[in-house]
Amino acid sequence: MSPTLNKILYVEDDPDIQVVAKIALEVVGGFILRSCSSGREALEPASIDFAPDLMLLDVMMPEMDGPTTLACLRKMTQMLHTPAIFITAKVQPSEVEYLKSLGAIGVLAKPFDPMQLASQVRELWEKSIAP
Amino acid sequence: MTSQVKKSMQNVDEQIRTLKIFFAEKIPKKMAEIEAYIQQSELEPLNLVHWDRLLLAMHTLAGSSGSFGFEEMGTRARSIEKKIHSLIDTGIVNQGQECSLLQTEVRQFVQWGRAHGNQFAD
Repeated sequence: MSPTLNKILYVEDDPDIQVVAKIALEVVGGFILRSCSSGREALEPASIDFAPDLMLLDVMMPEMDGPTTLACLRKMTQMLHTPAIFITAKVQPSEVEYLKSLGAIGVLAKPFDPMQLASQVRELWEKSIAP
Repeated sequence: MTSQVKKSMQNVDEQIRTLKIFFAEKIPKKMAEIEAYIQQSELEPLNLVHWDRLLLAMHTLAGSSGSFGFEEMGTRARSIEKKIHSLIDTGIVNQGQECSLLQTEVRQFVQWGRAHGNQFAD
């Protein structure tokens, strides 16, 4: 796990959400973002070479959903320990527990407030690295 | 707050406001897509592909609307998404009355969306 949070790999199929998340994370949060429109794109060498400090994954996507994408990414040595956060509309306790059981450090609710997203991500990150 | 931070935040607000306007402009197209899917589901009610497409369209709209300030649209879309999910999950997608009621609800949502989608939410 990287000691500082700079680079985020974001996987989201909806282009509208991608754009608003880009502003929320890059402009408001000051992070470096690489957005992918599908799980398949997230598995491409360019995404892996990006060497993110954190992965932010939408749960429900066509073809390859967030949990499947995370499982595939985890098979890659470079991504084995990269913290992951899921973003989903289903934030009932059982769903959150299930997603955490897949190795996510946290789950964020959708829709999100663009002004709050970066601080929510940072909060989960800091909680995960706290001793 | 320094003037530089203030300026930066104003810039963010402007960008988000612009995105909201772009999103609002796309709502008629989104409603037309949903309408097309519901028409297909009416023509072929047993074909799950149409229901899956409708489900994804409602899911996407539910996920994005709220982030662009269209909370009510997001809430309504989420409610319909759950009902479609339930129909598919319980395998009663081929039971006429349930489907028919849902199709009517989606059509009403499309009408509502067309009427309210152009009201830019500040």
